[in-house]
Amino acid sequence: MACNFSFNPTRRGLLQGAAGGMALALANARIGFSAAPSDQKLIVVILHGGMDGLNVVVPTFSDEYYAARPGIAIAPAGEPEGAIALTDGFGMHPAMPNLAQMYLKGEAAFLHAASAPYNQRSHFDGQDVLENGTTAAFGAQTGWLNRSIAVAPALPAGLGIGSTVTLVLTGEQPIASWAAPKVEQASTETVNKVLAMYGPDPVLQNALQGSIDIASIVGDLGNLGTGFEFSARAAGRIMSAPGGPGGCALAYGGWDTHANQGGASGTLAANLAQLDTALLALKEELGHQWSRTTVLVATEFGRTFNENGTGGTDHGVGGVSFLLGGAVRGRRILGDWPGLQSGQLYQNRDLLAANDLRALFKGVLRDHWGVDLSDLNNSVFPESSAIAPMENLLR
Amino acid sequence: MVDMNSYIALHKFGLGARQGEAQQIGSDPQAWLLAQLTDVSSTLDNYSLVSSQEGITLFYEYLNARRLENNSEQPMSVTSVNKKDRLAAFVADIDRIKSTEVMLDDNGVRGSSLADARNIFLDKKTKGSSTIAANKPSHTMLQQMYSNHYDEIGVRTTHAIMTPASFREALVRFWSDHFNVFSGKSLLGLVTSATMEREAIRPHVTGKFIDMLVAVESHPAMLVYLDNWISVGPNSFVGQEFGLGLNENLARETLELHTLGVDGGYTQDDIISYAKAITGWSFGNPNIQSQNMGAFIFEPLLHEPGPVTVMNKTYTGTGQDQGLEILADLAAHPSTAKFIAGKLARHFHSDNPPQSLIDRLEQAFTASQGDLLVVSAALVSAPEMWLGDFSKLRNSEEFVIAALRAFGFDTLTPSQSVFVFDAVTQVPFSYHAPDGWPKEEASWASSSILSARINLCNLLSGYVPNNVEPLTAAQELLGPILSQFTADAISAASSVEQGYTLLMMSPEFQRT
Repeated sequence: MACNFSFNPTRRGLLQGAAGGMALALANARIGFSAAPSDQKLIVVILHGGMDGLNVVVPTFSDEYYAARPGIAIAPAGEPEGAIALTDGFGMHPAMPNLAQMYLKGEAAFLHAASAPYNQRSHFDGQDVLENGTTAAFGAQTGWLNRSIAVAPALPAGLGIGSTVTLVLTGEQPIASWAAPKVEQASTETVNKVLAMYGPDPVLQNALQGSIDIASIVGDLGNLGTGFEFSARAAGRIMSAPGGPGGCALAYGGWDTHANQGGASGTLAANLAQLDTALLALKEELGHQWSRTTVLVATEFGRTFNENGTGGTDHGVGGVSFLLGGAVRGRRILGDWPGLQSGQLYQNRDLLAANDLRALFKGVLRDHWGVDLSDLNNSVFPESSAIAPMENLLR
Repeated sequence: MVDMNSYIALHKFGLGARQGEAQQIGSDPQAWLLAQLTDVSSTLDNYSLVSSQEGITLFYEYLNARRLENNSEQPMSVTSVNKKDRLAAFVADIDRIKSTEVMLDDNGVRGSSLADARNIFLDKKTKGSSTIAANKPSHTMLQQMYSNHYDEIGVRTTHAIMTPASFREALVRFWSDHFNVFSGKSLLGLVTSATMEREAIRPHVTGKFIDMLVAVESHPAMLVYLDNWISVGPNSFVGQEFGLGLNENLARETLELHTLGVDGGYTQDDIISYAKAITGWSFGNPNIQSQNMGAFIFEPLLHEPGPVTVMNKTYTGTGQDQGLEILADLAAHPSTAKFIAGKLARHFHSDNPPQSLIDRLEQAFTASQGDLLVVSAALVSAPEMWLGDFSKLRNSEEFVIAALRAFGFDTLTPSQSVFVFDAVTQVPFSYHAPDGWPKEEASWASSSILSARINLCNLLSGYVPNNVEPLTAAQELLGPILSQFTADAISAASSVEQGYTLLMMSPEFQRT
């Protein structure tokens, strides 16, 4: 497959004295590639809706957990439909065998009882805080991953997957984007004729050329799988192409399980199985570059400790995040565990958010992309010097 | 021969040309535009659309039905005569209402409904899905709320496609985006967001800015979207009894995005003071002023007592007038005139408009004390607008409307309207942040969006209602804007449908 990338990150383009205005437009459309040979891949997966962390990385050691969730709890490892044993008494939901295997092989670690600095239980505001990197909804109009790209020494190019790029990756740094077609695609002949018509309009020409380039990398849409795997596989293919982007964000919704979320099977299990397949697909598509890859998976909040009256859980605070990839020092439960006993819960209803997700993100950005601590404390996560990066996350 | 100015009027001021429209403009395009400013059909009064008041009433009926269906929750106490009981019920409701937040897909549309829309467009039949069993009363109510919202989008779209006064519609969209609200902010957002445009924007689009400002800031959609309906003065009765406090969201965005602009000269203290002044701005609900269900109310029991100081002026009013007086001063502040003028110029002229145009609009705003008829007319008469600059890239909604106008797609169903906007990622009222849709070219000239536009054109081309020849249509719709290069490309199309796609995707059609 011949991939003819143009190389246009804005900042470098400007440093090299390229035509200023044009550099932005070009870079927006094309996959810029990083010249740095040690290209470190960072993929952020945002789970919209509030994933029920306690039923995903399950505290199977806790009597309180089983008492609070009589209808939906995941049984301990070894029992019928039980969890997959991890370490420290935690178990993986049985719908996620691939992630459990990555954990046990040392390629995944989990940060439990974690949240962005937000505890008001609104999806909309919680997602905004998680992705804008401040402590308030609308605290910034750009996302922390985009701002990281601006200060990462290797100048990684960004890739947004989905027709709307999720906030964490939006901002001043131009990014390439790809979305699954929503309607039947126009023929290659038609697209090429439109491209030819754009000779006098370089901005549109380059945006469309970028689309054609990416489509040629993604290739046959028929073998991408379905659901979230489709997006993940496309992301992995684009990133692993020669000179492909170093940063990527994807969003996956459907975690708002207020009713009938089920236990080992059911709504949540089906979503987890899709996510599990998608994470494996990322690993498969990245191939040998998996060893230089870190994937962060985060959600806007966890859910209530107690099962509610309709077989589901309501909006809570502390949730679980995944850190996986060949670059990760895995097989570990990270952070502090605040406990599930009466008096240990937040407002007597939710797992406490004992761990600030910014500490996880900062640790990854510092050690994986080499982002300077002062940039992390100021521009990437504004006014966050009190939140130290987590140590030793990566190999 | 229709001259260039007619096409500037159609494309740069209006929402794009319909076939035959250029010939109707006559010799004075400026007069043609000015006449649109007094068009009254844009109120959309002739469609039986559901008001926000009715929508909120339906929402609370839905909430009650859900409670009765799930025996675990107590029905709302709406019969208690004890005021404190009712306020307690109001407070207890807040979390429950927040958890009705609509989980929308990436584009702000419910997946099942969207799938329905797509299949309707493609003449296929499918059944929708919902987590609520279909035989429950609440299921019907939920569907009704979505259907009302889609009807509202459908009507504003069809009106935009068919109206001969599309400049006025363009102004409506400008102001609606200036005061952006989000349909996914709880089901209350769903039932109020689209109605706000019709109830608070359209009546004032050529009226006084202060009247539009007050209508918006007191509309339930904005009170929900930026949380003011649950913002409580710490020293108010409810604040003292239930320990609730201020939410400064609406106050911040009123200063930063609706009036002064981010560099408009206010401080964090001004935000807090104004937030205090507008505590109690809420809407009638089952537990507070239920006789005004769904309508704006000022509730003294939520209001922070005492004077406040905003931008060095002290306001001593004790009721709603305290907030109204501040709003009046904000509307009249020089920063507001400057901020609005800049936004108008960037919207209608280009991402980088001439300073002289901004100055002209600012002066019109200031001299007329925010009379939007005068400001809009100043835009029409501004020489900078008539120089033939077509560098502004249409955003996706503008592009879709221009395409639908161009080919006379006059009979879209509401679901089809939502579908075509979703196909290019700009469903109205689905932008989550208060600053409104991205404005700059870089946000719209992306590879994924251009690709989505081509695919949509390819689809629409197969449904064009008349069988006009593509090059003829291009000449008709673009007149002297059409370049020979593009005309040649359209002529070389391998099918009529491809010719339509090339026309809609041409730089001349994508830009205004």
